[in-house]
Amino acid sequence: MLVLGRKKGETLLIGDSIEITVVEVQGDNVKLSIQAPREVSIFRKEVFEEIKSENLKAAENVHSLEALEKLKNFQINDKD
Amino acid sequence: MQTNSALFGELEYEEQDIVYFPAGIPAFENEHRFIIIPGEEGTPFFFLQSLGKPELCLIITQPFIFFPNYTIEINDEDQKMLDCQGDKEKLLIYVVLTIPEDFKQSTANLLAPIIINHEKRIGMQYIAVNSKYNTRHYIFAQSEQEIAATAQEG
Repeated sequence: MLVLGRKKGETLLIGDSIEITVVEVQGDNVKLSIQAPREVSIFRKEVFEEIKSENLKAAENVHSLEALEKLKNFQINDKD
Repeated sequence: MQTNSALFGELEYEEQDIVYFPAGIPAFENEHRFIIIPGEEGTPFFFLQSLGKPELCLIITQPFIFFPNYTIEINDEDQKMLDCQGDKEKLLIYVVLTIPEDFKQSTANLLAPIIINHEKRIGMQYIAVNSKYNTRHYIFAQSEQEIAATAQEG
C-alpha cells in the first residue's frame, strides 16, 4: 500500500485517466474531487460493504421457511 | 433446461428466462446468471434464483407497491450497461427484501435496487452515489414500540 501526503489543491494521478484532487480540508473532513472514466465505478466503501452485508443477510434469511409461508399468504391489502 | 434450487428443488426454465448480471451482485460477484420466479399468485413477491449457486435465492419485490413515491435516477454509464438506450420502459425495478423471523419487520433495500432490462435480459444491482435511501426500509407500517424494540435489538 502506498501512503502519501497531499495539500489542499494538490492532485494525484492514478494511471493516466484518474485524477483525485484535494478540494478542502477541515479537521477530520477531506473533500475530494475525482475525475475518472465513466466506466469506473466510484462508491463510498462503507456503502458498498453495507450492500454486500445486506445481500448476505437477505440470502441467508430466505431459508427460513416460516417467512416463506407468510409470503405465500400475503395479500397486497395487508400492507397497511 | 433444468436447475437446482435449494428452495424450490428442481426447476425448469428456458434459455430466454435467463437474466445476465455482468457484474454479479455485491457479495456474489461470481454469479452472473439468474432467473426470476414469480411468487404465489396475487402476491407482489418474486424470487431471484442464481443458476450457478442453488442456495442463492433472493426475495425481491417491486418497490412502488410498498413505496409509491420511490424514485431512482440511473446514471448514463449504467444505462449504457443495461443497454436500454434511454428507454426506461425497458427497465424493471425490484428491491431485495430481508425477511427476519418476524415477517412484519421485513425490510427492503431501497439504496441498491435490482434493475433489469427485460428485453435484453441484462441486470444489475444499482448503487446510487448520493441516495436518500438506505439498505433497510420497513415495508410494513411500524408502531413506535416496534421501532424502539428493533432499535434495542441492534
